[in-house]
Amino acid sequence: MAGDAMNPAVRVLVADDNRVDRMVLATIVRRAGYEVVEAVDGNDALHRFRESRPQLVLLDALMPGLDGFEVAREIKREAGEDLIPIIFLTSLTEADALARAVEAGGDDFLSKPYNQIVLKAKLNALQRMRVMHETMQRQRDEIGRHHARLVQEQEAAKAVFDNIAHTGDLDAPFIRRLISPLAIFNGDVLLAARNPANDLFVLLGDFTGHGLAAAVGAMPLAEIFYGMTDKGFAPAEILREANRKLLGIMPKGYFCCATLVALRFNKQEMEFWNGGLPPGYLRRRGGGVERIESLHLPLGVLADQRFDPATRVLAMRPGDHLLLGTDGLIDARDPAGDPFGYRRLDALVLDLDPAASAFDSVQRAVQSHIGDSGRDDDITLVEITMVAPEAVPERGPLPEGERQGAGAEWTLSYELGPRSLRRGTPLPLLQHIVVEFPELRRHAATIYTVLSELYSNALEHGVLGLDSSRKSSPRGFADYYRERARALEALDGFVRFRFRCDIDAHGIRLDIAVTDSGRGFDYQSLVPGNGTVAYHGRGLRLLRSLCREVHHRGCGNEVEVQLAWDHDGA
Amino acid sequence: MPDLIDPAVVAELKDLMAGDLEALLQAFRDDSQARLAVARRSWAAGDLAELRSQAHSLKGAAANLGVAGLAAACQGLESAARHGDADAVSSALDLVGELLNASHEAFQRPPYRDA
Repeated sequence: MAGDAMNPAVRVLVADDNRVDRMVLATIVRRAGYEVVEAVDGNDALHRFRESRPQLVLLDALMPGLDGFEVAREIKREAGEDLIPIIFLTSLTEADALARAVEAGGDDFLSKPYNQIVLKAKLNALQRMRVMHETMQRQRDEIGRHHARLVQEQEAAKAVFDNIAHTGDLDAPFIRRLISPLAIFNGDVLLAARNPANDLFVLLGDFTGHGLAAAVGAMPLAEIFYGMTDKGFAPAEILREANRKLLGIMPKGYFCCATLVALRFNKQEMEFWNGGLPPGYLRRRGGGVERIESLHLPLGVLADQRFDPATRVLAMRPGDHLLLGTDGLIDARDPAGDPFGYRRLDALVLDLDPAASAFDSVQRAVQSHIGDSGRDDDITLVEITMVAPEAVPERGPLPEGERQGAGAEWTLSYELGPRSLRRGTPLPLLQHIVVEFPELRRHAATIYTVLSELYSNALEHGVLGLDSSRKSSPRGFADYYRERARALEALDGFVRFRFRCDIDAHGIRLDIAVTDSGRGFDYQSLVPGNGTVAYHGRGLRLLRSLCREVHHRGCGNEVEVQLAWDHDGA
Repeated sequence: MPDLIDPAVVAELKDLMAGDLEALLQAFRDDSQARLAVARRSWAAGDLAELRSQAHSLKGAAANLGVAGLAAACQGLESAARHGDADAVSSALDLVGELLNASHEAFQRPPYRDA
């Protein structure tokens, strides 16, 4: 029987004050496979309903005491959101009585004489409806629970993100940012940190996927970014490692569109890499906007051998700033569903009054585009401003370890051949050795800056023979870095470091000598204080400001610097 | 006025109730006599609402037992009571009484009882 098949214990309340009708009805219902609870009038019907919680109810409309309409209303009220179908038993033919039954919550009617087949069909239909309703309720509750869990996961993801972000440098004065909470759940990541040379590294990422799926990728990305930036790795190396890691851990089809920016305050340069994010806009202080397009595929798409982490280097001046955003910006929809789009963004930024803030203008334009709907508030916007080196706050000191070491005396010679030179910067390795000594750790930033100057001079002007004076014009600047990449491929030569470190009770002395295989240069013409400090002289000026002594030797392919500190911090 | 008995309803009823048919018929005998008595008293006391209610209930039971003629007479009584037509009520009450007795006798014969 249908009732049996669907649920062996479906109870049906049969309420009729007429004994004969009740007997007939109860017999039909029982024979249809349902369990019957009988009630002899309206009050009895309510009592039985509360006592045995039937799933279906057959109610005589006219009963002494409480009539069927009143009983129906009360049953529907007590059932709350459970569906308890009610069939009215009536020989009424008047339209107004039927209307009253419907109004009281009646789901169907049955008139006398009762017909077995008709009643069975009605019972089964209502039972199916009831089961469907129950299933729907269960699924709705399940969706509710899923949703609650999702929200919980998102909150957990957000907490993780907040922790990640707080370890970074997002609050630096030259960063403005807007990340809507929804954007975080939609996979946007914004990371900022400074490397040992006090360069600012910013990574803006947009993971495919939502919630936890996005957070799962963001974790290793953040770890790589912070860890490698802190150790002094170059952007290209960070990108390569991030790509490799994400490719390895993320399921097929999941990847991360990203822009990595390294702002080198000392050199007034920016290194830029964009894989799959909307273009960045570099706005010059005095006017002029450059759009920097994505030239690469997102992180986590290409195998390591095919991944291209080549960055572009752009000269910047204090007050120049870079505006970055994720797809949420482009996709932000107005109430009619029209996205904000690249064209609007382009028109807005390219035509903007140089004195106006692009960050504020874009934010305002997108918000007003979205309107009150707020449903697409999935926006991440970042503005990074170049400042003069003096305006950059000191990076927090590295943890010092033991306050006073037992002193040390060591030398180290390290020579990089062509393959090593092509491979990438040796600075993290050297830096790692140096900061192993607790006394040197507090000077890590200075040491790193000096090492990085020495190395880039030895490589670029020595081994590669590039002329840095070409960097003076924007055009030459770009040419310079193109030429550098070409020369690196073809290079044959070496760079050798020699360290001599002496730490005693009074202080520290660290001598670093760097020799390269290049032709050298006329260092006599670069004596300090000869007035003009050309753009390319910045590096040397920086070295002189940090080191106690700087000497060039040989044909100019050898440089030796001396760093020294007293233990009291001088 | 339809025939007193609707054989199709009776056939279905016999199939449905099987061994319980006799108990059902007995219940109707007791119940219907009681309802007719209440109906008469109500009429005498001028309680038309109660009269209608009894006629209505009796009509339903009669229909379910296949006594179509009695059900029609009850409908007539219900309708006369609604209109407050004294003559019509009196004659309808009489007709219901007669057909009730006829029904009780019919229960002893086919199609209720096998021949």
